[in-house]
Amino acid sequence: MTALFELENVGMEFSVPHRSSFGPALRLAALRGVDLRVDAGEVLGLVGESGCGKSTLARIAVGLLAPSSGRRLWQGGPFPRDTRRGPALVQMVFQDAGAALNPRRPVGDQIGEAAMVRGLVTGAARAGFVSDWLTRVGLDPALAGHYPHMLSGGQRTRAVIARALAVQPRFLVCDEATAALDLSVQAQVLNLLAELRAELGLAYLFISHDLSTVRHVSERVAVMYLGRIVEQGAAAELFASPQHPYTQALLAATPSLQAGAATAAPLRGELPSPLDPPSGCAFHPRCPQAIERCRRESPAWRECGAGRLCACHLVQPEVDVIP
Amino acid sequence: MKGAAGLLARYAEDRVAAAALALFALLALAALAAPWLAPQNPYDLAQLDILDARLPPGSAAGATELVYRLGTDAQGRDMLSAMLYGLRISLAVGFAATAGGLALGLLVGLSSALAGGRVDALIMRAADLQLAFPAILLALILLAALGPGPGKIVAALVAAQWAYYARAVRGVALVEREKDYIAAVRLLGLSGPRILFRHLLPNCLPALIVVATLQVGAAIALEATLSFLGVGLPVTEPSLGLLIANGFQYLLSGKYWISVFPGLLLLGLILAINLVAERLRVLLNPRLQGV
Repeated sequence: MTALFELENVGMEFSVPHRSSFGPALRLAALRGVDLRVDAGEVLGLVGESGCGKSTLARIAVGLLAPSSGRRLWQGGPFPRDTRRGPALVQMVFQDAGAALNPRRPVGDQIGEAAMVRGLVTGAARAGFVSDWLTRVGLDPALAGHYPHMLSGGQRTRAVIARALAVQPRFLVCDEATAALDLSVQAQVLNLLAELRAELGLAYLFISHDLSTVRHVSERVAVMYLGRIVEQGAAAELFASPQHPYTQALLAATPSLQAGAATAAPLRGELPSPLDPPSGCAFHPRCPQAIERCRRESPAWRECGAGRLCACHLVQPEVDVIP
Repeated sequence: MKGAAGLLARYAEDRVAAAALALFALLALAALAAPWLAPQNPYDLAQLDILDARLPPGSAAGATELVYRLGTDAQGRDMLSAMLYGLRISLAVGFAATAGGLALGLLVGLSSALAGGRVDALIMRAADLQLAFPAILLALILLAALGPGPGKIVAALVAAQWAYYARAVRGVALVEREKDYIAAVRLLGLSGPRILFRHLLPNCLPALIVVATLQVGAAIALEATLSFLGVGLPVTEPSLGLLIANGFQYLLSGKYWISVFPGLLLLGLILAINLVAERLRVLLNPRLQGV
């Protein structure tokens, strides 16, 4: 089966001015060798610390940024150019819905505009189209005439979702879509995304730093550390038996209400600067199990179970099939 | 629109600014209605009586019923009428120059911000070069070459001021361009011009309104200076600056009114405009805006 959307060996470098304004520009490797696959109708969760390159990955996935190396594929072929007519292929739900809406236009305008430009709705049907979408994302159609600052955070997120889906994409990238919302609203928006997915057969790339959210919505999960994917696999298995030391540390750091639950020592130190990444495995300076080899050699993907991949020297192939 | 009424209400919270706006409105109305308000048409030489030259305020005309409430100038022109017409010219030149500068600055600044790279560097260095010249010097040189006339002075003022707008527009556009709502509409597949005119430009305007308001005051002052120096408007259509210049030589001989009244009017006008601009700057500052 061909995947709906793939990233193939994607790398992204930014050039950053040198600190002492006369030195040479520095290269910041935001992403290195990222491979991702999203099947039609699937939800892939992407977790990682702040600053590990999640948002850069989101922008590359939707095409707002062109990667420095690697390719974006659609149904196994090169990603088609947006013709600005008919349905769009991918859309994005932005992290900050307030910033993602034009503050000077009513939200209804913004929901209907692109659909009309793309010929998905006629001028006469536009008002009905907008009310329909507002209703579908659980908003009162009367809000169409409101400006973004008149809406609450949850309402804005819903409006951004409606605007993205109004151009009929098949793949939706949600970049920390619920991070700014309080818990009850978060749950409502997650349920809405699940309903819309079932209704429209959408595939999601769900990016979050919040493990419990990702666990709740994703079928497969990829874990990212300093611009690389370090582990991926089916959500249930990955959360049940994390293989990569980073994933283990991440899961151990999740607060648990269980009394006396065994907790691993929390990770020490900060995420290293992507301007000066560590040699070998990027995680080795913080890894409790690092060996000499980790300092020298960057680990390749190893299969560690059905459909599970892990980039770590310490992981033995097929380790979890041994009882 | 509800937003406009709300803005006006918040504007009026500052009493001084409210008074400044009222004064400005009054002056603008007076300038518009000058032909009906003025006791005399100061441009019609047949109505002037040279025998009434340099009469002090309150004098009666020799030949007509007219009372010169603010005195007369060296040509026997009623000062009140001359000032009303002068105000008209000053305001018209100020607003025309601002509109022209804003249009040119918008075009240049937006192109600069959107093009980036070398085009951007080239345009901005040209703006720097222009700003390095004193505006008055540039306008003087241009007017010396072009000759006097309202159209020419507007052109000179635009040439002296476009760079302020271009820099302001570029700065705002560079910030707005990077915001997510622009990324979102790009992703939605809207065309470049549509994004520019319907999304980017409307969000750049509030900052520009402030710059433009301040520049109206600056343009009026600059025009007055140029006219005072004798390179602005022709003597037959005196603006406020030219009226001040006309009375300048009599200032120390006790005939203060020829210079002082137009001077006070100019002062009041520019002060009112600057106070309004300052209040707008506070109101339209996004950091002080209630979200």
